[in-house]
Amino acid sequence: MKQWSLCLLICCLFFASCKKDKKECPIPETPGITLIFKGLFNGEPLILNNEYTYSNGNKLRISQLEFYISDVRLVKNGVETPILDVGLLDFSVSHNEECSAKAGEYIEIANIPDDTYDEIRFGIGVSPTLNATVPEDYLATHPLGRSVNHWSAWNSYIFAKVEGRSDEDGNGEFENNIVYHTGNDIMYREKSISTTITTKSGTHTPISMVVDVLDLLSDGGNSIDLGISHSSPLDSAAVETAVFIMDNFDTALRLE
Amino acid sequence: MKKLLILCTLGLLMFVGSCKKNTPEPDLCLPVIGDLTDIEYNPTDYNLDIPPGFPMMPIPPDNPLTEEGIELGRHLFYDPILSADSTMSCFSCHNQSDGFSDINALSVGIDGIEGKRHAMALINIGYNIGGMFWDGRSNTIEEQALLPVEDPVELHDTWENVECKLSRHADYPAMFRAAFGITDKSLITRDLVAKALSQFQRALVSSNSRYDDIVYRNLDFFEDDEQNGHDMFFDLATGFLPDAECGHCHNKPMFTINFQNYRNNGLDNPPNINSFPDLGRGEVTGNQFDNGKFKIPTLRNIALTAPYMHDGRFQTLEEVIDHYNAGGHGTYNPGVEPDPLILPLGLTDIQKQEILAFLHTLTDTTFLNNPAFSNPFE
Repeated sequence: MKQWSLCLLICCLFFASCKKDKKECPIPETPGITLIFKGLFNGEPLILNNEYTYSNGNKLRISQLEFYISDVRLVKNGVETPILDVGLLDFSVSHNEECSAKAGEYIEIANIPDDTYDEIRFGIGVSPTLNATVPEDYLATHPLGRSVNHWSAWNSYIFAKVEGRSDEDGNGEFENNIVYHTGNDIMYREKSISTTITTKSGTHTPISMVVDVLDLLSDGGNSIDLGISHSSPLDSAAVETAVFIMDNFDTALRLE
Repeated sequence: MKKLLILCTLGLLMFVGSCKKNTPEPDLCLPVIGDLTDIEYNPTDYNLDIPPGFPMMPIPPDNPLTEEGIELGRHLFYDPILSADSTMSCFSCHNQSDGFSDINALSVGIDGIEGKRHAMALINIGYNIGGMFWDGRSNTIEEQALLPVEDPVELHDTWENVECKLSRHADYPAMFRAAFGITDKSLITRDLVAKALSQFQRALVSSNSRYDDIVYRNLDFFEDDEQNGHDMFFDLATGFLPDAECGHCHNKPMFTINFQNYRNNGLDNPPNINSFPDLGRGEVTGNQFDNGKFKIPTLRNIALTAPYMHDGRFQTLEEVIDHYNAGGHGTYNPGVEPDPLILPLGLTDIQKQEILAFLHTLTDTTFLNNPAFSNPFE
């Protein structure tokens, strides 16, 4: 009998300890629309600095994923309702560990007119009008006030960043730098997603999307040879790499 | 036996004596009360000029800049009343003539103990919203200002004692009244001290370098070597000069960045990610991938704020440029690789000199001599 009691106690302690470890990372249920973007790598949650396998079989680690969205509109029967001029998705904090990575990076947008919409449209990058401004035009707390995201050589905000390291020779050392930065008006891309969105004042309306980094770097047939392309002149071949990434947002970014 | 006993007693006394040294025993301060309402409280808004090319400074709504608050902050910044033995204050490690930084690699507190890091330069610090200290352990200047007073390797006092000393002071109660409207001497608090110090530090704006005259005021021109350095710094020299990669982390106009501003710049090559000699940002976030990362400092007045890096390991800018030109160590143990933007640059000796020449254009001597920022007790 004593042994059974002891066994029961151990079981209770075991389950109690399990419960403690179960971490929850809820997205705040703020009234309005919450655009949620979950980072993935090849369909798995993207956790920064974890090892993943690239399309050529080499190992890589992603240390940063970031991109702007602009000119966000809800659409009903072809009529657009603007809801946000610009937002920044910076995955550097939310995707540091599994729980918050699975929850996603998000932008909250309040004061949405009540209605049922059939589409959401937005630009990936900074819209040409806003891209004519510079961080000094904003408070540092504004998404466009981040000096780290403006590159004077392009006279442009950096629309998207994918950074990390890869092991190109399979020796276990991640000696190759991955720095893909995109920018300039020629790389601004429009995205539209058809989905029913019902908004009602005082209620929370999440729109959950994913962005798969492997799909940014590889379109199935072609894959980027991992290397540096971030700061080359706009007339160089490196621009093609940046354009390739921006084009790939069309498939890499999708509804969850 | 007797000798041994005496020796032991002597040893014990010496031990206790030495312990005493490390524990501050400030003079006993008896708190006072005293009505201040007969002193006028009518603070004057401080007109913070936004220099050409600079953004608006983010000012917390609960601590607006006033002439009285900044003047109080300036007095506190320079007053050793903030230290346990009245020998040091903020200026001891943030000297105006050195760009509000410290010429010592590691700053030394009132007990003669070295801290583990170099004192950061306080230049345009009001624009810094990405965390204070090399590891960002304080989010705001106000939070930062609370820490050195009680730090055993800095001013090593207690806030209770400092508050008490200030309340008994001949001038400070009236200054706190004028700045913050307190009605009684006993209402001087550490939070108000921090607010005043923060106001003064927000006023420390440096914007009168040759770079500012050339780029933002159109009053001057770069020399050829400075121009080449500038173009390499910002990757503007298409085709014929290499990209020195500096602008990613030291972007204009502050020559630092306000987000993602903790980086591993390849200073150390420990055996594994948990064995950096100083964990830096990782010690604050608990994320091992933040180990070895430190805040990116401004390069404004960089020629005057040696030594360099979080531990002051480089005495000259030439050493710093050599470090980056080599891509840090060049090779790294798995897991401790630096930021992807740290890579061999291939700059020639002449190009390194040109980068150096450009860095010298960031020197603003008016900042070093501005009487509004100087020691009010001299």
